[in-house]
Amino acid sequence: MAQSSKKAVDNEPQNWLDDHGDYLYNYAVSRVSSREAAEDLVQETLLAALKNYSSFDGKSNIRTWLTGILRHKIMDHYRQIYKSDKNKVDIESGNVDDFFDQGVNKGRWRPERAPKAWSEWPDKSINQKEFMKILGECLNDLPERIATVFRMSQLEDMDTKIICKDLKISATNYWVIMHRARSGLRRCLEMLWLDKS
Amino acid sequence: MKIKMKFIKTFTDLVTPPCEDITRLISKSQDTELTLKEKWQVRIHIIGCKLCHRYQEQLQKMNSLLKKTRKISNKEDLEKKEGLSPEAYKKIKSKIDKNIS
Repeated sequence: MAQSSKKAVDNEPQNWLDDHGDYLYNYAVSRVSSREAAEDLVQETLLAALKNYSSFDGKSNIRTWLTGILRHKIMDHYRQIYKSDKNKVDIESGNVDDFFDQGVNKGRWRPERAPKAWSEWPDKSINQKEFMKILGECLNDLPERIATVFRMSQLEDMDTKIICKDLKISATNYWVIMHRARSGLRRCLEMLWLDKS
Repeated sequence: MKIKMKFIKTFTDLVTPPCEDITRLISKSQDTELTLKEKWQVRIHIIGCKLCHRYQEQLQKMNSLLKKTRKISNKEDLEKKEGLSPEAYKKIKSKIDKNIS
């Protein structure tokens, strides 16, 4: 078959879902907290692509173009989560989720919440896939706003300044949010991982 | 030896902020450069505090795992995973068909 005519058929909008739907879904689902959210993102992406098909210049591959639209949609999704009132948690409130004593030993680790030795967690045995799965579970355990900032920063590798500007948060608040995310994740990884071994 | 450790611990408590503040600084050091004062507070504190030292090491470990994960997920084969469920496929398909015609 002539390559050019095959391409033309591939690019037809009615084939997008069959050709790229699974790919886009897999891309999205690893970046959001639920399957439903990922499905909605795929749908929004394809509808937006239909609307803007005339702006597709044909220079890039259609999948790359669709993935670009999806990326924008994911960023919008993050912004929405962050702004949404129902996700508001008291980010500024001082103590990080009861890790520290508030009584006589104020500010010291509470023994039962303190970091455990990770000697049972040798580097080599860590299967990357397993880690990603556990990480996903642990991210879902965090308050959604906090998880979102962490995803943008650590998984999407976005610049701190851009995140702060995008979400309208101060640098100080950003550090507090990241600290809460790391503390929560560290604890969650420890419990889930050490549980398995 | 035990007495020496006890002394260092007390010293840590006296001259550096409590663990709650130190862990905040340890996390912050992954996002930005700490001031000289903050750096020394962390350094001195973790000499006498095993738990904060652990916290620091574990955050570093998490960081390096995340870095590896980023590299892999950029390259990961998204076609080999399961993809859309039949129900979701149907739902999206009907939406698109409506918009094409």
